[in-house]
Amino acid sequence: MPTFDRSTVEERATVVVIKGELDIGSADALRSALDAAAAEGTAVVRLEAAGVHFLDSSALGVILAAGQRLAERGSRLELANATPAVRRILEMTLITRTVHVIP
Amino acid sequence: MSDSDRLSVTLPSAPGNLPLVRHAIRGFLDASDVADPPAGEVLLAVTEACANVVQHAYLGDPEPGAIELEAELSGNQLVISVRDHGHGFAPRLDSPGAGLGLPVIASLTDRLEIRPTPGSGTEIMMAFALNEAA
Repeated sequence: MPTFDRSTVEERATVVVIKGELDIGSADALRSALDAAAAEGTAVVRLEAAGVHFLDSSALGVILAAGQRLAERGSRLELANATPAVRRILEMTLITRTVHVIP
Repeated sequence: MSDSDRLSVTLPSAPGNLPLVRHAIRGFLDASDVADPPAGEVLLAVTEACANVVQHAYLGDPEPGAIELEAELSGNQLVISVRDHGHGFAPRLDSPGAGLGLPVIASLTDRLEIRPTPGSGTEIMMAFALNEAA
């Protein structure tokens, strides 16, 4: 007879609130911000993206690489509250397979 | 054709100038008679095209060359050309981009042409279908 023991697990998250336009000119700053967040060592790094009104493939590449590095150590990258401009390129490039998009 | 139907911008090929390109395109679309222009698609495609110039066109040159952008409203389409006078878009092993630029542009545009600029360099011509004027 199987048994089902339920418990609640709390995860710690490092939240990065991003505001502005992300393109090749801000890719290095974005990379630094994500590296610093990853260095916190939490299970989740969450990007609050409600204030991001432009995202190009250069910035997307930085986010993708950060998501892959976090996944390698068992953590995950979440992208929360993406604007339509951000969702457009996420859906176009299928990056949702690597980054967890939260409505 | 009135002046408001055309935009011509020339800027140094530098990463920090891409927000200026988007600002110019936004202003151009806002001043046009186009009802509900696909601004998001246009801004992303133009940024990707200009980022290609920044990353590839003048690689190895002591000073960055120019990005030449022209936009023209004609009938029910918007045609935007991004030109440089550099050395083409040869792949870079150290490329800072994700390699997604041209596929993204292709998926955003109704017509895309990439051709050599007379002399040297590359031109990316992007066409976007528009709604009828309001």
